[in-house]
Amino acid sequence: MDDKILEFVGILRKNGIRVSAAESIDALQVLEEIALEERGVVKDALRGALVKRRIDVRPFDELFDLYFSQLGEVLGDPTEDLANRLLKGGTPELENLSKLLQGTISELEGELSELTDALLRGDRSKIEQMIREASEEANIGEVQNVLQLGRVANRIRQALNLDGVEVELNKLKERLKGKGMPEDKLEEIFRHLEARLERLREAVREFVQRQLELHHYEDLNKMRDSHLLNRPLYQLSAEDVQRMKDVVQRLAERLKSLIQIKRKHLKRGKFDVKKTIRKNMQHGGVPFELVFNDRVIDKPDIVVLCDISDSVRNVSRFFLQFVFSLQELFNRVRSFVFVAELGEATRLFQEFEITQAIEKSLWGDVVNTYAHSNYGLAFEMFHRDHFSAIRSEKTHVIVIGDGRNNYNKANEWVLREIQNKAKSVVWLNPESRSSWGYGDSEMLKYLPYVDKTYHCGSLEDLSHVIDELITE
Amino acid sequence: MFSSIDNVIEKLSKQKYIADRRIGTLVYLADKLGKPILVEGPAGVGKTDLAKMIAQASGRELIRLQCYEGLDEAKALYEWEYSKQLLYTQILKDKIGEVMTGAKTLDEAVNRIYKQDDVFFSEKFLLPRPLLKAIESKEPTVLLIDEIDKADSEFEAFLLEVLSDFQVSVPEIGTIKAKHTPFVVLTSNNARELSDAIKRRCLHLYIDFPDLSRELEIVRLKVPEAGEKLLKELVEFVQEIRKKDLKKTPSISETLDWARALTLLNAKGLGEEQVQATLNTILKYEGDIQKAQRELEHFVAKKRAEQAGIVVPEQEKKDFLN
Repeated sequence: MDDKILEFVGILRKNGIRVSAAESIDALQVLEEIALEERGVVKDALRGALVKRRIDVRPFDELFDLYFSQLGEVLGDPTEDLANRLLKGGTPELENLSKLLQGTISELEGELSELTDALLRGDRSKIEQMIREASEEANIGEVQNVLQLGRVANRIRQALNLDGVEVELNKLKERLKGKGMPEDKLEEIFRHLEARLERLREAVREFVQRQLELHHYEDLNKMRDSHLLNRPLYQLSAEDVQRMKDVVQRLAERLKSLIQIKRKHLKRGKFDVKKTIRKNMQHGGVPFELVFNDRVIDKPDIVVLCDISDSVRNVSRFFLQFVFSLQELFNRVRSFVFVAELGEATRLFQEFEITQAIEKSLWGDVVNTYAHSNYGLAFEMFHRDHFSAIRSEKTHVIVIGDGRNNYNKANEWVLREIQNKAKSVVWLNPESRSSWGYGDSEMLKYLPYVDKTYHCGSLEDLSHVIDELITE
Repeated sequence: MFSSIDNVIEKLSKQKYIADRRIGTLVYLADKLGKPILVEGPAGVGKTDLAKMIAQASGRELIRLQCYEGLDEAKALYEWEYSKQLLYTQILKDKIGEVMTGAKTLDEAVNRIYKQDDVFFSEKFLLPRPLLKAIESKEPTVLLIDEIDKADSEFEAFLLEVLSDFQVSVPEIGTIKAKHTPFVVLTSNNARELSDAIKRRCLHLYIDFPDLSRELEIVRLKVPEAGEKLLKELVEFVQEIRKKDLKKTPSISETLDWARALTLLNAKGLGEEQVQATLNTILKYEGDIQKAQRELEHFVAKKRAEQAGIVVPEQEKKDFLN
């Protein structure tokens, strides 16, 4: 048993769950205290001893089920001897059929293979054992990825000689027919047997899949996530966007806790003489307890100008999600979206849940999204209607866009005024630097009035930018 | 303390705490192995209550340490009573004068007063805080360290010594070792990740919202005066609404509040007017309440249809094998 537990711990580690040596000793200890018959209790006990992070709970549960489970559920029903089952029908007719079947099977005794026999008798554990043996034979250890799954499963099926089983079953059928079993009943019995055989085929595939998952559980999951992190944002499918939202949420959580720690260290301010004296009056003025001022930390204001034309939409989407997930770290966030005209989307975020608000602002609830990008017009409108959104020396202005202006007027003077008033102006561009200034890109005109520019192609880039914004 | 897993569940249920098998298993193991138990889960699922009920069920004293930002050793472990020390030196001035008489040099005077050191740094002037109390206690206790995630990470590091050896060192006095290992329960709301070191020393228990039958059991136990029909509909509805995307999902304690409120108002089922008006006992945001109202209408309509007896007849299969 101990070996089995340690091997399981090995598998957990291999799949990215951190288990220390002390914890695996705990696992062995807890198992001494409980009855091992109850599967649920064993699982709970092991989980309590081995898994300490909430995100590891699900992987643990799944790996536990994979590791300690039998193929029973997949094999489904064949737990009963077929002949016995017929007997249960209760009518004399079925009883006769049962006898006939049993007789025929024992006649064929030497000719039926072990597996066929087990299938007829519904001997689940025998079947399972045979699958395991066959998979050893078929080198199941070499399965590395999903692509090989089918091939290895086929090899196991060959090792089990499933085709042979089918031949034998047909032989049985012929024999039964010869003995005068009514056609319709015969059909029904064999439909049932075929279903059992089909489930067996399934079970083999399932077995291989489980082995693969057991050893590569994390790889399979992780591959997807890290892949998303570094994926260029403009290439995402609708399904990716859905998954990406979770990734953004997690990144935001991580960032938040990091920043809160950094802030706390900054918080302790100067020694406060007055408060110290007052506090130590109770000790007769002897300063046992020192009091420090809390330093007031300015939370930044943020004004975001998002281009939401097709080419930049995803960057805007995730940036907005980021910023609004982290809202409590800012004093105030105002967001404006534009294609040609510019409109404020802040209200949407107050009324709707974040993802809903983003979808609404991206799809034409605020401005017409079917126009052609016009940065000049958008900037001009911002200057005219919303310039007061910038509180002097407190506000960071963030522009998200590729700067492709469709040869309209650039109006870079607005940016100059913004820069004069705001604390900083940051530009996030999903295009790489080498293409700035070519074609209709006006980036070079805007650059002099921007404090910082980032090439922002992937989520990883985005989270860096946010980190810098908040902690600088 | 407990003789088996079933014993845990039974003793807790006597205290009106419905524990499922997972909770029972972990509490039993923590007791057997003498390890702290770390309870995590959303707010309002009865994490703190678990500790209280364990104390009551086992007849032990509960010592509670509420964590918060800025909690330090002085508040958690012990503190010297400075004012008492000062007061005593004032009162005992004459006595000190006596000790000092005849001392010729400053050196001698210092030595004499040094010999009296122990008087002022003895347990008489030590103010025990929860942790020290739990360790010093002559009877076995249950120590609840509540919302550990609210405390700073330095405090967590300090807890490690206490939790692994159950001993505390006071520099002036020496090491104080626990006579009985207290049963330690830590709770966390996951405001931040705890350090691996502390997690490693604990058994981990995650309590989630209960399923339908368990929540029904809980409400029935705690609000026995509520009618059965109301209970069933109410719990079903709360379970339903937890699946929705809400700003704050209702917890068990809120379900209980609602059940109490509706019972007071004599409601017999969810179809009545009072129900709409009391939604704010389970939901705390306007947007959530609006969502829930729509949900409630569907729910009531569905229930009515069921009660009207629109039962879909099940098809009978006449296959002798399947």
